[in-house]
Amino acid sequence: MDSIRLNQLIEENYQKIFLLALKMLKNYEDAEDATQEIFLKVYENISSFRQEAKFTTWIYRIALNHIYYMNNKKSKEFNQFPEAHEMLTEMNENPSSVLQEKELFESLEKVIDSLSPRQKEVFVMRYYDQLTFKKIAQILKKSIGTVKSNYFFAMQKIKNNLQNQNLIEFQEKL
Amino acid sequence: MKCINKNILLDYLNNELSARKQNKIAAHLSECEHCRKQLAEWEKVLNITQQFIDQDVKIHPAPPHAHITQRFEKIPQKTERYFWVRYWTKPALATAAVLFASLIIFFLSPKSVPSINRNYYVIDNIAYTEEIYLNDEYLDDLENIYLQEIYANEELTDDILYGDWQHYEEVLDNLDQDELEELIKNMYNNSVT
Repeated sequence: MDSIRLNQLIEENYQKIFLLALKMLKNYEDAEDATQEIFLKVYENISSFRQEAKFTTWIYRIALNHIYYMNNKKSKEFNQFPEAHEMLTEMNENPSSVLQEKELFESLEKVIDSLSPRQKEVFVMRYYDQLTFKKIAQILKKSIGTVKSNYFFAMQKIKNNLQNQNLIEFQEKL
Repeated sequence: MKCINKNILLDYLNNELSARKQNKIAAHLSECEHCRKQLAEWEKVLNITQQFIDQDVKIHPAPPHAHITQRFEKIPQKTERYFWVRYWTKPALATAAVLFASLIIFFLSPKSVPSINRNYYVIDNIAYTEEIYLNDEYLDDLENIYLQEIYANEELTDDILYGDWQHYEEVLDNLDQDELEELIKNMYNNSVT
Protein backbone atom coordinates (compact mmCIF):
# COMPACT_ATOMS: atom_id res chain seq x y z
CA MET A 1 0.00 0.00 0.00
CA ASP A 2 1.50 3.32 -0.98
CA SER A 3 2.01 6.00 1.63
CA ILE A 4 -0.48 8.45 0.05
CA ARG A 5 -3.29 5.88 0.24
CA LEU A 6 -2.25 4.95 3.77
CA ASN A 7 -2.34 8.58 4.89
CA GLN A 8 -5.75 8.98 3.29
CA LEU A 9 -7.11 5.95 5.14
CA ILE A 10 -5.66 7.20 8.40
CA GLU A 11 -7.24 10.58 7.82
CA GLU A 12 -10.63 8.96 7.17
CA ASN A 13 -10.52 6.78 10.25
CA TYR A 14 -8.64 8.85 12.80
CA GLN A 15 -11.60 10.54 14.47
CA LYS A 16 -13.69 7.35 14.46
CA ILE A 17 -10.97 5.39 16.22
CA PHE A 18 -10.36 8.29 18.59
CA LEU A 19 -14.07 8.41 19.54
CA LEU A 20 -14.12 4.66 20.06
CA ALA A 21 -11.05 4.94 22.32
CA LEU A 22 -12.53 7.92 24.14
CA LYS A 23 -15.80 6.18 24.92
CA MET A 24 -14.16 2.91 25.89
CA LEU A 25 -11.28 4.36 27.95
CA LYS A 26 -13.26 7.28 29.42
CA ASN A 27 -10.23 9.50 29.50
CA TYR A 28 -9.22 12.09 26.90
CA GLU A 29 -5.44 11.76 27.26
CA ASP A 30 -5.57 7.97 27.29
CA ALA A 31 -7.77 8.02 24.18
CA GLU A 32 -5.36 10.36 22.40
CA ASP A 33 -2.36 8.18 23.28
CA ALA A 34 -4.23 5.00 22.38
CA THR A 35 -5.22 6.40 18.97
CA GLN A 36 -1.62 7.32 18.19
CA GLU A 37 -0.38 3.91 19.27
CA ILE A 38 -3.09 2.16 17.25
CA PHE A 39 -2.09 3.99 14.08
CA LEU A 40 1.59 3.34 14.71
CA LYS A 41 0.73 -0.35 15.01
CA VAL A 42 -1.25 -0.12 11.79
CA TYR A 43 1.77 1.39 10.04
CA GLU A 44 4.19 -1.16 11.45
CA ASN A 45 2.00 -4.08 10.44
CA ILE A 46 0.65 -2.80 7.16
CA SER A 47 2.61 -5.48 5.32
CA SER A 48 0.58 -8.19 7.06
CA PHE A 49 -2.70 -6.55 6.01
CA ARG A 50 -4.48 -8.87 3.60
CA GLN A 51 -7.08 -7.77 1.15
CA GLU A 52 -9.51 -10.45 2.34
CA ALA A 53 -10.41 -8.19 5.24
CA LYS A 54 -11.27 -4.61 4.52
CA PHE A 55 -8.97 -1.97 5.91
CA THR A 56 -11.57 -0.59 8.33
CA THR A 57 -12.33 -4.07 9.69
CA TRP A 58 -8.63 -4.70 10.20
CA ILE A 59 -7.97 -1.33 11.80
CA TYR A 60 -10.96 -1.69 14.17
CA ARG A 61 -9.69 -5.09 15.28
CA ILE A 62 -6.27 -3.62 16.07
CA ALA A 63 -7.99 -0.72 17.83
CA LEU A 64 -10.26 -2.87 20.00
CA ASN A 65 -7.38 -5.17 20.95
CA HIS A 66 -5.30 -2.19 21.96
CA ILE A 67 -8.17 -0.52 23.83
CA TYR A 68 -8.91 -3.68 25.82
CA TYR A 69 -5.20 -4.05 26.54
CA MET A 70 -5.07 -0.48 27.84
CA ASN A 71 -8.28 -0.90 29.82
CA ASN A 72 -6.80 -3.92 31.54
CA LYS A 73 -3.54 -2.11 32.18
CA LYS A 74 -5.10 0.70 34.09
CA SER A 75 -8.70 1.09 35.11
CA LYS A 76 -9.14 4.75 35.62
CA GLU A 77 -12.07 6.52 37.23
CA PHE A 78 -14.69 8.07 35.02
CA ASN A 79 -13.50 11.40 33.76
CA GLN A 80 -16.14 14.01 33.00
CA PHE A 81 -15.62 16.33 30.08
CA PRO A 82 -16.52 19.78 31.36
CA GLU A 83 -15.97 21.37 27.97
CA ALA A 84 -18.93 19.37 26.62
CA HIS A 85 -21.35 21.13 28.90
CA GLU A 86 -19.82 24.53 28.33
CA MET A 87 -20.34 24.08 24.63
CA LEU A 88 -23.95 23.03 25.06
CA THR A 89 -24.62 26.15 27.12
CA GLU A 90 -23.18 28.31 24.39
CA MET A 91 -25.37 26.73 21.76
CA ASN A 92 -28.71 27.43 23.36
CA GLU A 93 -29.76 30.82 24.58
CA ASN A 94 -32.82 29.85 26.63
CA PRO A 95 -31.52 29.17 30.17
CA SER A 96 -34.27 26.75 31.26
CA SER A 97 -34.03 24.64 28.14
CA VAL A 98 -30.23 24.74 28.42
CA LEU A 99 -30.52 23.28 31.90
CA GLN A 100 -32.95 20.62 30.72
CA GLU A 101 -30.77 19.70 27.76
CA LYS A 102 -27.66 19.68 29.91
CA GLU A 103 -29.30 17.37 32.41
CA LEU A 104 -30.54 15.12 29.63
CA PHE A 105 -27.15 14.86 27.95
CA GLU A 106 -25.31 14.35 31.23
CA SER A 107 -27.67 11.52 32.02
CA LEU A 108 -27.13 10.02 28.57
CA GLU A 109 -23.38 10.26 28.98
CA LYS A 110 -23.60 8.38 32.27
CA VAL A 111 -25.84 5.65 30.94
CA ILE A 112 -23.63 5.13 27.87
CA ASP A 113 -20.68 4.95 30.20
CA SER A 114 -22.43 2.32 32.31
CA LEU A 115 -22.99 -0.03 29.38
CA SER A 116 -21.07 -3.29 29.43
CA PRO A 117 -17.91 -3.27 27.25
CA ARG A 118 -19.60 -5.43 24.60
CA GLN A 119 -22.72 -3.25 24.50
CA LYS A 120 -20.63 -0.10 24.48
CA GLU A 121 -18.35 -1.13 21.62
CA VAL A 122 -21.38 -2.00 19.48
CA PHE A 123 -23.17 1.20 20.45
CA VAL A 124 -20.13 3.40 19.72
CA MET A 125 -19.39 1.74 16.40
CA ARG A 126 -23.03 1.99 15.39
CA TYR A 127 -23.73 5.58 16.44
CA TYR A 128 -20.41 7.38 16.67
CA ASP A 129 -18.71 5.68 13.77
CA GLN A 130 -21.90 4.96 11.81
CA LEU A 131 -20.94 1.43 10.88
CA THR A 132 -23.57 -1.04 9.73
CA PHE A 133 -24.45 -4.04 11.90
CA LYS A 134 -22.90 -6.26 9.25
CA LYS A 135 -19.61 -4.39 9.43
CA ILE A 136 -19.63 -4.46 13.24
CA ALA A 137 -20.27 -8.20 13.14
CA GLN A 138 -17.27 -8.64 10.80
CA ILE A 139 -15.03 -6.59 13.06
CA LEU A 140 -16.07 -8.45 16.21
CA LYS A 141 -16.21 -11.82 14.43
CA LYS A 142 -19.70 -12.34 15.82
CA SER A 143 -23.05 -13.01 14.19
CA ILE A 144 -25.28 -10.08 13.25
CA GLY A 145 -27.83 -11.46 15.74
CA THR A 146 -25.35 -11.22 18.62
CA VAL A 147 -24.34 -7.70 17.63
CA LYS A 148 -27.97 -6.60 17.37
CA SER A 149 -28.78 -8.15 20.70
CA ASN A 150 -25.99 -6.06 22.31
CA TYR A 151 -27.39 -3.02 20.57
CA PHE A 152 -30.97 -3.71 21.73
CA PHE A 153 -29.82 -4.14 25.33
CA ALA A 154 -27.90 -0.88 25.13
CA MET A 155 -30.90 0.97 23.70
CA GLN A 156 -33.23 -0.53 26.30
CA LYS A 157 -30.90 0.70 29.07
CA ILE A 158 -30.90 4.18 27.55
CA LYS A 159 -34.68 4.19 27.25
CA ASN A 160 -35.18 2.95 30.81
CA ASN A 161 -32.82 5.59 32.11
CA LEU A 162 -34.60 8.40 30.29
CA GLN A 163 -37.95 7.07 31.42
CA ASN A 164 -36.97 6.54 35.07
CA GLN A 165 -35.53 10.00 35.43
CA ASN A 166 -38.51 11.58 33.66
CA LEU A 167 -36.10 13.31 31.34
CA ILE A 168 -38.43 12.79 28.42
CA GLU A 169 -42.13 12.25 28.51
CA PHE A 170 -43.58 9.31 26.69
CA GLN A 171 -47.01 8.70 25.26
CA GLU A 172 -48.57 11.99 26.22
CA LYS A 173 -48.84 13.16 22.63
CA LEU A 174 -50.79 10.16 21.39
CA MET B 1 -51.02 -9.97 13.68
CA LYS B 2 -49.55 -9.91 17.17
CA CYS B 3 -48.01 -6.74 18.58
CA ILE B 4 -44.52 -5.99 17.33
CA ASN B 5 -41.50 -7.00 19.35
CA LYS B 6 -39.34 -4.03 20.44
CA ASN B 7 -36.31 -5.40 18.60
CA ILE B 8 -38.31 -5.49 15.37
CA LEU B 9 -39.47 -1.94 16.04
CA LEU B 10 -35.85 -0.82 16.37
CA ASP B 11 -34.96 -2.69 13.18
CA TYR B 12 -37.91 -0.98 11.51
CA LEU B 13 -36.71 2.46 12.64
CA ASN B 14 -33.15 1.66 11.54
CA ASN B 15 -34.34 0.41 8.12
CA GLU B 16 -32.85 -2.98 8.82
CA LEU B 17 -35.81 -4.99 7.51
CA SER B 18 -36.62 -6.21 4.04
CA ALA B 19 -39.14 -4.19 2.05
CA ARG B 20 -41.77 -6.92 2.51
CA LYS B 21 -41.37 -6.93 6.30
CA GLN B 22 -41.21 -3.15 6.43
CA ASN B 23 -44.61 -2.98 4.66
CA LYS B 24 -46.08 -5.60 6.94
CA ILE B 25 -45.03 -3.64 10.01
CA ALA B 26 -46.35 -0.41 8.53
CA ALA B 27 -49.71 -2.10 7.91
CA HIS B 28 -49.86 -3.34 11.49
CA LEU B 29 -48.92 0.08 12.86
CA SER B 30 -51.79 1.69 11.04
CA GLU B 31 -54.18 -0.58 12.96
CA CYS B 32 -52.54 -0.91 16.39
CA GLU B 33 -52.44 2.07 18.73
CA HIS B 34 -50.27 0.27 21.29
CA CYS B 35 -47.54 -0.41 18.74
CA ARG B 36 -47.76 3.16 17.43
CA LYS B 37 -47.12 4.41 20.96
CA GLN B 38 -44.18 2.06 21.34
CA LEU B 39 -42.80 3.20 18.00
CA ALA B 40 -43.17 6.86 18.99
CA GLU B 41 -41.29 6.21 22.24
CA TRP B 42 -38.43 4.48 20.46
CA GLU B 43 -38.34 7.20 17.84
CA LYS B 44 -37.93 9.75 20.60
CA VAL B 45 -35.16 7.75 22.26
CA LEU B 46 -33.29 7.35 18.97
CA ASN B 47 -33.65 11.06 18.14
CA ILE B 48 -32.34 12.17 21.52
CA THR B 49 -29.49 9.68 21.35
CA GLN B 50 -28.58 10.90 17.87
CA GLN B 51 -28.68 14.55 19.02
CA PHE B 52 -26.42 13.74 21.94
CA ILE B 53 -23.98 11.90 19.72
CA ASP B 54 -23.91 14.69 17.13
CA GLN B 55 -22.97 17.14 19.89
CA ASP B 56 -20.46 14.77 21.39
CA VAL B 57 -18.75 14.18 18.03
CA LYS B 58 -18.70 17.91 17.36
CA ILE B 59 -16.94 18.71 20.62
CA HIS B 60 -14.46 15.87 20.25
CA PRO B 61 -12.80 16.39 16.89
CA ALA B 62 -9.84 14.22 15.97
CA PRO B 63 -6.82 15.41 17.94
CA PRO B 64 -3.94 16.78 15.86
CA HIS B 65 -2.22 13.87 14.21
CA ALA B 66 -0.04 15.23 11.43
CA HIS B 67 3.01 14.39 13.55
CA ILE B 68 2.02 10.72 13.49
CA THR B 69 2.59 10.36 9.80
CA GLN B 70 5.92 12.11 10.28
CA ARG B 71 6.83 9.55 12.93
CA PHE B 72 6.09 6.79 10.43
CA GLU B 73 9.24 7.64 8.50
CA LYS B 74 11.36 6.79 11.55
CA ILE B 75 9.66 3.48 12.26
CA PRO B 76 10.58 0.51 10.10
CA GLN B 77 7.65 -1.47 8.76
CA LYS B 78 7.65 -5.13 9.65
CA THR B 79 8.54 -7.11 6.57
CA GLU B 80 5.95 -9.40 5.10
CA ARG B 81 6.39 -13.03 6.06
CA TYR B 82 5.13 -16.19 4.51
CA PHE B 83 1.82 -17.60 5.69
CA TRP B 84 3.36 -20.52 7.56
CA VAL B 85 5.90 -18.28 9.26
CA ARG B 86 3.18 -15.89 10.42
CA TYR B 87 0.89 -18.56 11.78
CA TRP B 88 3.32 -21.22 13.01
CA THR B 89 6.25 -19.33 14.46
CA LYS B 90 4.53 -18.26 17.67
CA PRO B 91 2.99 -21.67 18.58
CA ALA B 92 6.29 -23.40 17.76
CA LEU B 93 8.26 -20.97 19.91
CA ALA B 94 5.73 -21.30 22.73
CA THR B 95 5.99 -25.11 22.64
CA ALA B 96 9.78 -24.95 22.65
CA ALA B 97 9.70 -22.53 25.59
CA VAL B 98 7.37 -24.82 27.57
CA LEU B 99 9.60 -27.83 26.87
CA PHE B 100 12.70 -25.91 27.85
CA ALA B 101 11.06 -24.69 31.08
CA SER B 102 9.92 -28.26 31.89
CA LEU B 103 13.47 -29.57 31.42
CA ILE B 104 14.90 -26.82 33.63
CA ILE B 105 12.31 -27.55 36.34
CA PHE B 106 13.00 -31.28 36.06
CA PHE B 107 16.77 -30.89 36.47
CA LEU B 108 16.58 -28.27 39.19
CA SER B 109 13.88 -29.95 41.27
CA PRO B 110 15.08 -31.64 44.50
CA LYS B 111 15.61 -35.37 44.04
CA SER B 112 14.93 -38.08 46.57
CA VAL B 113 18.46 -39.45 45.91
CA PRO B 114 20.98 -36.91 47.15
CA SER B 115 23.46 -35.70 44.60
CA ILE B 116 27.17 -36.14 45.23
CA ASN B 117 27.81 -32.46 44.55
CA ARG B 118 25.64 -31.20 47.40
CA ASN B 119 27.45 -29.87 50.43
CA TYR B 120 25.24 -31.48 53.03
CA TYR B 121 22.14 -33.61 53.33
CA VAL B 122 19.11 -33.40 55.51
CA ILE B 123 17.82 -36.32 57.46
CA ASP B 124 14.34 -35.57 58.63
CA ASN B 125 13.46 -38.00 61.35
CA ILE B 126 9.86 -37.07 61.91
CA ALA B 127 9.44 -39.02 65.11
CA TYR B 128 12.43 -37.87 67.10
CA THR B 129 14.30 -34.99 65.58
CA GLU B 130 13.63 -31.86 63.64
CA GLU B 131 16.43 -31.55 61.15
CA ILE B 132 19.99 -32.81 61.32
CA TYR B 133 22.47 -31.46 58.80
CA LEU B 134 25.18 -33.88 57.81
CA ASN B 135 28.32 -32.67 56.16
CA ASP B 136 29.61 -34.56 53.14
CA GLU B 137 32.72 -35.73 54.92
CA TYR B 138 30.64 -37.56 57.55
CA LEU B 139 28.24 -39.10 55.14
CA ASP B 140 30.44 -42.06 54.23
CA ASP B 141 31.04 -42.73 57.93
CA LEU B 142 27.34 -42.64 58.60
CA GLU B 143 26.76 -45.10 55.84
CA ASN B 144 29.43 -47.49 57.04
CA ILE B 145 28.36 -47.45 60.65
CA TYR B 146 24.74 -47.69 59.82
CA LEU B 147 25.28 -50.46 57.33
CA GLN B 148 26.97 -52.55 60.00
CA GLU B 149 23.95 -52.16 62.18
CA ILE B 150 21.40 -53.07 59.61
CA TYR B 151 23.30 -55.77 57.74
CA ALA B 152 21.58 -58.25 59.97
CA ASN B 153 18.32 -57.36 58.32
CA GLU B 154 18.41 -59.14 54.97
CA GLU B 155 15.42 -57.38 53.48
CA LEU B 156 16.98 -53.99 53.96
CA THR B 157 20.46 -55.00 52.97
CA ASP B 158 19.70 -55.42 49.30
CA ASP B 159 18.11 -52.04 49.01
CA ILE B 160 20.97 -50.32 50.71
CA LEU B 161 23.63 -52.18 48.75
CA TYR B 162 21.96 -51.23 45.52
CA GLY B 163 21.73 -47.63 46.63
CA ASP B 164 18.02 -47.27 47.29
CA TRP B 165 18.43 -44.13 49.30
CA GLN B 166 14.75 -43.53 49.72
CA HIS B 167 14.44 -46.83 51.48
CA TYR B 168 17.55 -46.03 53.45
CA GLU B 169 16.00 -42.79 54.69
CA GLU B 170 12.86 -44.60 55.70
CA VAL B 171 14.97 -46.93 57.77
CA LEU B 172 16.64 -43.97 59.44
CA ASP B 173 13.22 -42.56 60.23
CA ASN B 174 12.26 -45.77 61.94
CA LEU B 175 15.15 -45.78 64.36
CA ASP B 176 14.13 -44.93 67.87
CA GLN B 177 15.65 -41.92 69.57
CA ASP B 178 18.27 -43.85 71.51
CA GLU B 179 19.45 -45.68 68.43
CA LEU B 180 19.68 -42.51 66.45
CA GLU B 181 21.54 -40.61 69.15
CA GLU B 182 23.94 -43.48 69.57
CA LEU B 183 24.56 -43.58 65.86
CA ILE B 184 25.21 -39.89 65.62
CA LYS B 185 27.37 -39.88 68.72
CA ASN B 186 29.57 -42.59 67.34
CA MET B 187 29.89 -41.00 64.02
CA TYR B 188 30.49 -37.36 64.80
CA ASN B 189 31.91 -37.38 68.26
CA ASN B 190 29.02 -35.11 69.15
CA SER B 191 29.91 -32.64 66.42
CA VAL B 192 26.50 -32.66 64.78
CA THR B 193 25.22 -29.20 63.85
